[in-house]
Amino acid sequence: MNTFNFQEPSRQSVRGIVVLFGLNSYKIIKSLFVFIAAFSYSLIKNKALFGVSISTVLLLLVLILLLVLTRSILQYLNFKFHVYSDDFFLSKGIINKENISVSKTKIQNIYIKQNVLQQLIHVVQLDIETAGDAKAEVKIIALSRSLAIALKEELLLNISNAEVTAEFLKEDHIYYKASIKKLLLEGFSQNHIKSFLIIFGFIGGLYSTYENFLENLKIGETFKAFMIQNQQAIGFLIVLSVSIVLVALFISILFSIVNTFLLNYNLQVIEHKKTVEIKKGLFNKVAINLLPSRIQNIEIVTNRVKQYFGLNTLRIKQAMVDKKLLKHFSIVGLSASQATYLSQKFITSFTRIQEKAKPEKYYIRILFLKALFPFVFINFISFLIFNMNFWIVNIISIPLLSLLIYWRYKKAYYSINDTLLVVGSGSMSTSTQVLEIHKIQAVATKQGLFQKIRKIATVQVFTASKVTNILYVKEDTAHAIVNFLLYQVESQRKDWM
Amino acid sequence: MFTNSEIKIENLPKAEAVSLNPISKSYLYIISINIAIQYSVLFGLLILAHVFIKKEWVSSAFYYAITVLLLLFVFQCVISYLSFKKRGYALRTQDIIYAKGWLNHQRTTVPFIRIQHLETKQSFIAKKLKLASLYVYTAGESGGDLSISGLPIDEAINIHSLLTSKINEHV
Repeated sequence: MNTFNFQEPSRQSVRGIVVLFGLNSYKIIKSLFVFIAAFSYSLIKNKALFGVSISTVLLLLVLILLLVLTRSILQYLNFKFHVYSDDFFLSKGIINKENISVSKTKIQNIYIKQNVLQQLIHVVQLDIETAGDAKAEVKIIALSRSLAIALKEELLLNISNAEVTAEFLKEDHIYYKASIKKLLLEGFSQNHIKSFLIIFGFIGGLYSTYENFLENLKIGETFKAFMIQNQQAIGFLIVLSVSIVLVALFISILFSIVNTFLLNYNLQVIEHKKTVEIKKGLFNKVAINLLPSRIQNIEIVTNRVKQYFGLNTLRIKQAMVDKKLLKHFSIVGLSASQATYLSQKFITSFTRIQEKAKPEKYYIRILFLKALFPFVFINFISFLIFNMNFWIVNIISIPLLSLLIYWRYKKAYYSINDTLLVVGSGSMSTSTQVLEIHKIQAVATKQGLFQKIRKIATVQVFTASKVTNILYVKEDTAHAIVNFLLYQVESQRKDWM
Repeated sequence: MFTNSEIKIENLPKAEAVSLNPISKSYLYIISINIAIQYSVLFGLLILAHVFIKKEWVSSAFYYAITVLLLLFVFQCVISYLSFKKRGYALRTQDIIYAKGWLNHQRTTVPFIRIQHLETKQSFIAKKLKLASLYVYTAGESGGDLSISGLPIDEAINIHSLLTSKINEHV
């Protein structure tokens, strides 16, 4: 069924030179950004640079570009890959030669990606990832789409995991497609505090860079004078802080919406017989093929607003996934039944749990102790703004913190059956973490000094992708859980991937 | 033959009932040396500041700082000693158990079939004391790895080879 011959070592598409050129130039510009900015500034101001005229600078620039181009062409010529029996081979490197071989059975993920440049010249990037390293082992940056798909199928086809073999005989079937309306709602119902913190960090970074420049503008002093004038009126201060909060909220919401939209634009979930493919992205397009045997944990997240709109996010966790790609391992905007259906695709024995066991009441005490930190912090900030009237803020903060604690305790539960461990958590959001017991790597009990006195312990369950905590259960229960989980892992002797 | 009888949780082997083997007493030397190095650096810095910075606030704060540091030192020594007594390991037919910590006690169990690779390490001082650390790695980065420090070198080698044979048995 595939017309391409992967047995012979072959190069990527010639258009790869363009992509390589783009990437190399980007790298140079990024590493020299500060210099370039400084130079161009002095160039514009003085019409010359260290006594060198503009034409010489331009000549130099052309020379550098030619060097980059030569490097890109050499990189292209020295990049060859082929598939032989059960292995994928890649040789690359201009001076330092590198030979990489990846066994088909060890492949964890194959991504097909497209950034803006690759979209413009109609090529796709194919990344191959195993569970061995946090970065993708193989990156082929320019292939025609049909070739990339053929290669992907070739690599997935003979995986000795019998579950996939019959895969590609079946037609692709799009199970789910996120509408624009859903994406907008999804963005709107995000946790805006997170967006706010990102923006805040960004502005903070900008401010420290341009501190001197801003000081010249004397914004601070104008603001101070303004504050002194109106110091007496508490009402004014409240109005001022409320409007600041509103503006921050508005910007955060906008940021969340744009971010969600860019990341998940045209989100599609395509169902094959045993694997599931996720496609998404506007500027950076990605396609990820998910093999159930490679999935370590899944998590279903929603919150009150999302529940109202019928939105659930399904997060998929594998071992050692590239940090940059982690954000793509989620499907947003699913209805509850769709989330359940897909979870069953990934974990066959998945069921919505009926029987829930709760953590001990001791958890509430811990939560109150933990809430002391934000409580003191809020009061401190409030003291800086309102001086002696700082306690006003507690009219809001105390009920809010209590509500959060109440939710957190209410939403915490765990449930174990023969094949599954399910742990619920969250305060604003509701999260359901699911893992298959045969994918557990290690189990631990953890107990603080005071918990020991009260005979309470936390169980930690480690898989290759994350640790799941069963919080604050009775000591006997904790031991029983540990013994049961160990028994299941050790008696079944199933592979974890 | 395939059987599927009910599992009685109370009849399962109890990991918590296994008595742990303590690690070597000589490891206390290593702990003491580490603490001694840490605190002599801190005390040294304080004294240097006292000698060389001739400002009033430095000399008035000096004795408070020394007292606080002394208290910390004593506290750290006590905690380290108590934690040392809590360190222990045990091998069962299917898994390895390691426990540590007094303030925060953690007891981790790794099934043999999940071990990815093993490592025995010896620092300079450990070599003098004939001690070694055994590292047991599982897959992934979630932190389910074990590091058993302060094993007598013979014991470390024995466990290492035992675990190696157990892993190969599975493959």
